[in-house]
Amino acid sequence: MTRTARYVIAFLAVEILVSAIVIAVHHDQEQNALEVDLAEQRAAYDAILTGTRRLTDLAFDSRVVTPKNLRLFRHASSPDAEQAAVARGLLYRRLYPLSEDMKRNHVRQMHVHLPGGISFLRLHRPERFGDALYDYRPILKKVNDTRSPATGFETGRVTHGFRFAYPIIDDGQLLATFEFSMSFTAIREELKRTAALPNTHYQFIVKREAVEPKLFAGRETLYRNSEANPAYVVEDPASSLRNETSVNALPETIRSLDRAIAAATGIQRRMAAGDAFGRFIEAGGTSHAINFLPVESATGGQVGYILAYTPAAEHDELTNAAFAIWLLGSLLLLLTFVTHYRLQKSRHFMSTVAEHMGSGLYVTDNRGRITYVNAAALHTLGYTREGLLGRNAYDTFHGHSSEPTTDGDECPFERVIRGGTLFSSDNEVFRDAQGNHRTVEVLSTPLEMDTGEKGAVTVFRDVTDRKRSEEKLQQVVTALRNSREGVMITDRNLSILDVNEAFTTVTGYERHEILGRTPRCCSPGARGRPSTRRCGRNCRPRTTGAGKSGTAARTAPFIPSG
Amino acid sequence: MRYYYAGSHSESMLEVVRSHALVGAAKTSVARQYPHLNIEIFAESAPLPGFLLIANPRTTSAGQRRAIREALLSLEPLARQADRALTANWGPDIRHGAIPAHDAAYDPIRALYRSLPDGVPEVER
Repeated sequence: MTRTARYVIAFLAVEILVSAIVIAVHHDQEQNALEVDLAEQRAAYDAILTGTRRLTDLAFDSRVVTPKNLRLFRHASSPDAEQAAVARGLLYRRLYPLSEDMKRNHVRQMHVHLPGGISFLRLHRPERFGDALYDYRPILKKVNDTRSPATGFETGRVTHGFRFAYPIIDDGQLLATFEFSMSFTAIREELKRTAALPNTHYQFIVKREAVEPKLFAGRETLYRNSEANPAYVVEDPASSLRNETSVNALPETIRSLDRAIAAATGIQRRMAAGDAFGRFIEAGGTSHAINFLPVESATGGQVGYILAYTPAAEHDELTNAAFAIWLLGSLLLLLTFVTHYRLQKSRHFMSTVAEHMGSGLYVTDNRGRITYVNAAALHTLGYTREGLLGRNAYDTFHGHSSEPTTDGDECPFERVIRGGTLFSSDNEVFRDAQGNHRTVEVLSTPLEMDTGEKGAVTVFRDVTDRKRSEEKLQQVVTALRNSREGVMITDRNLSILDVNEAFTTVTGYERHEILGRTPRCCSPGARGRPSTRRCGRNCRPRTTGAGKSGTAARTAPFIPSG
Repeated sequence: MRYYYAGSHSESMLEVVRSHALVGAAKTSVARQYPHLNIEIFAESAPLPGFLLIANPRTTSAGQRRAIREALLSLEPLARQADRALTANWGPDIRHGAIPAHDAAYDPIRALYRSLPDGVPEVER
């Protein structure tokens, strides 16, 4: 796998991680916002039911169970149909003003039942009576059985409602039950009035299976299918059966949201589970916070939902901010990777160059500790890389003459670091790993990092063998110069390169006169300065042909080194 | 004597039950729904024609009106099982079929108006 491919994969992995973190944080913020709204709506909903319960308590105690009404309730169970009819008519007459007052508080139904769950008088539908309700209205049975008030949501034969049912007991005898019902219109109006979300729309949907089996024939048109969930129905604001003037006409935007809810399988799944939850959904170019507040029936179990739709422009701002953070983070990440990639590539290049250098190279920090050493240096000094990195160069292999110094203060390399000056030498001595002294040419240059750290980079070359050759050559030259026999040195073209003092004595030529000429001017017959100088025509100077090999006058071959 | 419009036949009956009115007038089929509230029928007119089905000529074509009229008049719920099934859930005033409307059928109503001693009363709504 190439270095570029590794970087791309690493970048993608980190980018995915960063994206996941941004998404998770954004999701948490969303959930927190939704949960706050949901908790507030739940509190408002509970407060409304509690307030209504207090209202119905007051109405029941002060206007229903009056002495005159109790006599009528007692007659309601009379086997004499005419007496019962009179009681029903008079109760209707006496309770009608209360029903009108309660309607103004959105309590739209009042219903009297006889023991056994038989409908006696519906104030809201007085033409319907006599039907058995226990199969449809478990809350009534509960009140009859317990002789205690009960409260809860219930579907019914005429419509659904939030019920407040009371037993009517006189002299220990259960005469009837009395029930108030509040519509969702009341809940909605109160939610809009009390919740701190004035732009919120509310809709109440009820499970179809809890509604349709109970309705009187012909009442089905009170409901239409919920667009949010096919398992639910909603009161149809256009139904001619509605007896409320406040119509919950939702704007088209809400209908679009309902369709989005219906298409979201995750939401449908949570609704099927009866969960309380919230979601942000976009419609009409604006996000909406939609909270699903489950409504339980009087007998337990979720039977409906209050859907709260709140425009959430701040959510769009939150999303835009999260996107901007993600984008900025991604760009920074990309920039970091590209920079790192280029830096690594540059380092790799420099490292490769350094590793392939013929000369040794090492880098020390401000304490003289080796931070980098190349292959040539390891080869010359006989160390492994691990054996040198981190060690003090002076302590390990420095010496500045054939007798290595032991005093660090004298080390010129230390002065490079401290003084910031160059140090070069062609006669330094390093100790290799075996303790042998190596003569080296060195160039040590001060180094200052971007971080301000100081150090030095030192290049050296082992010249031990060359030095030995030069010494030997010097010995030969000295020997030749001091020989009592005349010696000349020529190049391969027989051009005289040098002569010793004996030669000038024998031939009479000055050294500068013979250099560059051929040996023919110095034949044995011409020995003696006057005769030898006569061959001057042949002793023309050579101006070219300097070669590496030469020939001594007596043809002793000599090959210079170096 | 003060007359007022209760809003519907049922409301007319219920206004009596509520003791808001001494008497109320409603068609017989509605009045007979309230004996359980102790409503008594003490006077009844001769049969009067039922509801008219009318159409707005601005929103319906003559052809549409003719087609609706012919379709309704062709129904015989009392004689044909298929028609009876079709009208089973219709309102009681039309469940048993329809007959052509004739202006003369409303003459008894005009006669009732003319019989009022003080003429047609002003109706409160």
